[in-house]
Amino acid sequence: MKRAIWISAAVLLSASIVWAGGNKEGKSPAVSAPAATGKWFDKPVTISMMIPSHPSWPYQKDWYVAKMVKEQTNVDLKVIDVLDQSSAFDDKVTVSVASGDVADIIFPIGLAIQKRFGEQGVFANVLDYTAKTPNFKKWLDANKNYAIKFMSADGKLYQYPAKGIEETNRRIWMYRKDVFEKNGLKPPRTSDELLSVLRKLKELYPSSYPYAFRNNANDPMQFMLMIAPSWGTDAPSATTGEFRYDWATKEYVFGPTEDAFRDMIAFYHTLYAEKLIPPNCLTMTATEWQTMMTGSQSFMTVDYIGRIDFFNVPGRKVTPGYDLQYMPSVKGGSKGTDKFAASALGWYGFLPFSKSAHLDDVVKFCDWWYTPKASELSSWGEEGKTYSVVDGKRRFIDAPAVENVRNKYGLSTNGFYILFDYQAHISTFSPELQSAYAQSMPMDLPENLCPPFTPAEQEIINLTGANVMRHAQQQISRFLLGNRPLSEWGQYVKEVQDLGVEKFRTVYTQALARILNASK
Amino acid sequence: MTAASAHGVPGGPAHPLLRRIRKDRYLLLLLLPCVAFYVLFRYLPIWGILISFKDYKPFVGFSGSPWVGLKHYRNFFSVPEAWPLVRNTFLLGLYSILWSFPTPILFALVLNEVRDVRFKKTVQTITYMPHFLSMVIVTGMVISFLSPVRGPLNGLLKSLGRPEINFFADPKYFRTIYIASGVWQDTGWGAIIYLAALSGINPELYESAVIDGANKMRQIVSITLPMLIPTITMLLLLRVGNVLDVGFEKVYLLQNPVIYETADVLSTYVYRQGIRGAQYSFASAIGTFNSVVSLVILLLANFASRRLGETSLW
Amino acid sequence: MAVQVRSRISAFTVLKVLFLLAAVVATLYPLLYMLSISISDTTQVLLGKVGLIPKGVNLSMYRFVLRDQRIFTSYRNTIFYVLVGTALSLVVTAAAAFSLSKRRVVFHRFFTILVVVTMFFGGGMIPTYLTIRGLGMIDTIWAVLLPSAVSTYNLLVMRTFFDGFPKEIEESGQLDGLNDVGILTRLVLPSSQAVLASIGLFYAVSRWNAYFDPFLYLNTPDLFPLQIILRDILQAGQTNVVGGGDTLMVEESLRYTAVIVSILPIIVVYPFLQKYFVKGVMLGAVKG
Repeated sequence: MKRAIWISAAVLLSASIVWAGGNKEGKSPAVSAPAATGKWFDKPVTISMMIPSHPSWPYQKDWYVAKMVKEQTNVDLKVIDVLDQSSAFDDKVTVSVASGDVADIIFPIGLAIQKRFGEQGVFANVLDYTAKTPNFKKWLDANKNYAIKFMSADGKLYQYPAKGIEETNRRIWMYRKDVFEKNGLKPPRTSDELLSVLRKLKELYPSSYPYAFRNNANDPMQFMLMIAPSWGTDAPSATTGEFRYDWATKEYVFGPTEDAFRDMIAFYHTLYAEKLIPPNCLTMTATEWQTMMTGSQSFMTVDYIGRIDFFNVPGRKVTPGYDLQYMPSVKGGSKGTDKFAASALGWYGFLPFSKSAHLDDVVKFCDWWYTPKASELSSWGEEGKTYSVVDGKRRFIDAPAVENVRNKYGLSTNGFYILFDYQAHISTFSPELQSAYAQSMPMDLPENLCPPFTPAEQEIINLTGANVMRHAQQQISRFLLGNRPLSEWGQYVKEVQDLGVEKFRTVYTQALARILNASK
Repeated sequence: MTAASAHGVPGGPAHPLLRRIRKDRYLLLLLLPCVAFYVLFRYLPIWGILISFKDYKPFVGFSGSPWVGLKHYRNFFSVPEAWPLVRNTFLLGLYSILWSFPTPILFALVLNEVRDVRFKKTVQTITYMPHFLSMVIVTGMVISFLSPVRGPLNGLLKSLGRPEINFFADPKYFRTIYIASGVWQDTGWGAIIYLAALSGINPELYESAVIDGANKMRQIVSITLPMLIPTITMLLLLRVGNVLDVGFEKVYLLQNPVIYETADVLSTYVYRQGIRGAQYSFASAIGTFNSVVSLVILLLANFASRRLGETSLW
Repeated sequence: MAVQVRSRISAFTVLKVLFLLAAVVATLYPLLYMLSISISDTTQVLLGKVGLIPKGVNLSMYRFVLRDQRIFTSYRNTIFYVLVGTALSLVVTAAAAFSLSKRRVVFHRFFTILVVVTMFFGGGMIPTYLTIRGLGMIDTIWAVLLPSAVSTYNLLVMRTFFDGFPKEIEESGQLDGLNDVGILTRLVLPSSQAVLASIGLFYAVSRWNAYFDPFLYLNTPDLFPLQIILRDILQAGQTNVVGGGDTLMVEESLRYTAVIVSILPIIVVYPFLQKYFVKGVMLGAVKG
């Protein structure tokens, strides 16, 4: 663990040297306080912003948060509300890039848009403007650990990173405390204990599949992203890296060919064969899984932490005593750990258009978001207007749940947060959910170290990498289902290697080395 | 005014081509809006085909992006799965034609024989409705229906004492699932055009056939089918030309890695590649390859059709 | 009148009725299932307890879908796009199909090939967008009405139908002094109700369902068609626990409700088009 910290510090130190080199204006910082009028801009400024809309809280001009921004900064936001958060949003951005009609700021979900267009020159390198954005600079200096993930292979940073809201993506193990207690069972801490608990539950409830989880049919290893780290290995992912960085050996390892991965698959195969997990576990849709969880056909799952409330509400209507609770993570096999994968991950922020007619105003506007005042106002709002203090605790007015907070005030909706105080959301959670957060946070494993890639390297990943991944997905699935005997594991490892894992891995090693070398 | 003659109006164009244009001027006028449409909306953007020969970057633009020749095509063929993908795409398209093409015709023929107009109309209205369901809904229903945990089909198997089948864990089921759901969804809708064609057949033809003693089957074979042949041929040609056009969405929603053997096709492969980073040029190359093969297939089919004495596309 | 042929037909009749009933059941069952879910209590749906019979009937899902103000604007927009767009498409397509059905027309082969090639080769999303932008149509109704005006498939099918139009009628029209346009409008079209109704239906449905192109080409919400709003609403099913009060937001319920809201108008309108598919439309023509 300590070594991990040292290495990441080294990486970040070198990265920061690269950054410092990119800063063109080494003069004294510009004024960081608002102008004489008390607003961020003296005169009104119009800035266009393209955001993906969420249908439950579509953008409204008269939201508190929109008015607050105008009041504080004197900026008239021209919001382009795109009614799609998925790939269609990407397409809309693509055509606007191709036609040159790009909004001053784009608010993306995930890094895909930045990675795709950053190096083409669509977005400005924010490191070039740090003199004009002192608040951002200050935050950056204190958060290099975090900001490095948003960086590009060319040493530039094309995004103003957001921080704080990723907590919403946290995932945990969950179990039906009432069912366990009724049958005198304790939550398992190791995979052996897990197996015996599940067997016991199956005996007691033969028509159940005690442990169920939903998955992405086209990417079955996505589920393993949550499980594998507790087994001492990792599953590949386009967002967190296809290779696991081993802090001990300082090498990149391909998870799906490791022994620990094999042990994990063997374990899940046993679960599958004994019908402790549903036969369609690799492709189970959210709908079916939800029905099984609420209908007590399953008692254990791994999913978003918010599911605690999601299931308890309808579950209790149907089964008195229904009690879904946080379950401490399970150590997998002999090489595993009882800590849980880093799941509170998310990449949001502002992408400033490099050819904006008033780029200086745009970056100055982005800078405002890094002030403590902006953070406070965009997370909580103002006392009396959006929240009141009850028993020494802040409570939102007229907004019992997060979606109400968003719908009513516009707080924490796309485009309106950068430095977010997650306590604002937590204040609306049920006591169970709050307790789950408290217990889950200390158990986080560190994030994987995934370097940024040049376009040439990206091409190799797209071709060789995609072939390797496709084969791995196929074979891992078949091993788990028993379509292929585990005795052929060695053969499979060779097959994957023949497809070019080494070439694929070299790209990672190279990209990491480059960032380290930048300091020499 | 006399019928058009080769001389035309005195003082008219002498050149044969110009004379023909003048003679057909109204027909050309009728054609004009359509041609304008094609030029504006289909041919102006057609430079997009060349994207596959470049490393296209949208922001930099077409002229700014570098030429790479056949690089993307070579990359595609170097993929180990190139052949199985094309094979899967082709087979799905072929089976699709074999099963989904005749069924609407059959359906229309049977429906046409119904006397009771209300029954006929009701049946037609109900059976075309699945066409309106989006792929997400249809595939969701199919997956639900076939689920080994809660699906009714497996429920039936279990009650008959047989073990459940995990339909999406075995490559051999995929094609049947794909084709069967396609037949269900599109038969009613596909019959519409044939019903329209059938409605144009003169009832007197049937009357005289009946007088000659022909039974139902004879009538269908010697009157109905021959009258439908032009429509059927045209639709078949168009269908054959689209054989590789296996809808991306449906396959993607039904597939998973365990069944890639039969379930992975060109379009889904490209899509999954694209998730890692917009590969416009690569996708464009595969699309162009697809188009060229389809065009060749169509040319062959059209040639065959002309030889058989039937309709030709041109 | 037709001679009544008797008992030999009965077996055939029974078979055909059974066959058709089977088809009806196969297609009706899932639709009734969807309807049932859309009006059932969402908790029951979540538990998987709802089948053909709805449980806890309520219209909360419909209220959720329809409460969105944008639904009404977009419904109005879609009706406009469909009516105007289909009329436009039919006029252009019918004119061109008729013209191309006359094999004698000069450049006939050239134009047909021009048209067929586009079925295989196209520019793609970005070049088409840039073209439409170049024509100044982005964010206008023209971007919805024009780029989908003609479908090659429909064009060729219509051409086939016009091919089959009796030559004698056309020739008699020529003798009466009609030019090609007159023949089309006075003789061919009135007798082609079946094909006009079907192709018109195809165009109308395609425009009704249009999502991606309008999404890409339009920015002003006031111009959005129905499908954009519906798809947007559907995304609510993926994250919400509680939406609008006590209603549990269940993805399945929401999805099916949206489907029904979307196809209801078509189901209502269609029976009025059906009469054009009835036999005997051509009856008057030859005798005259």
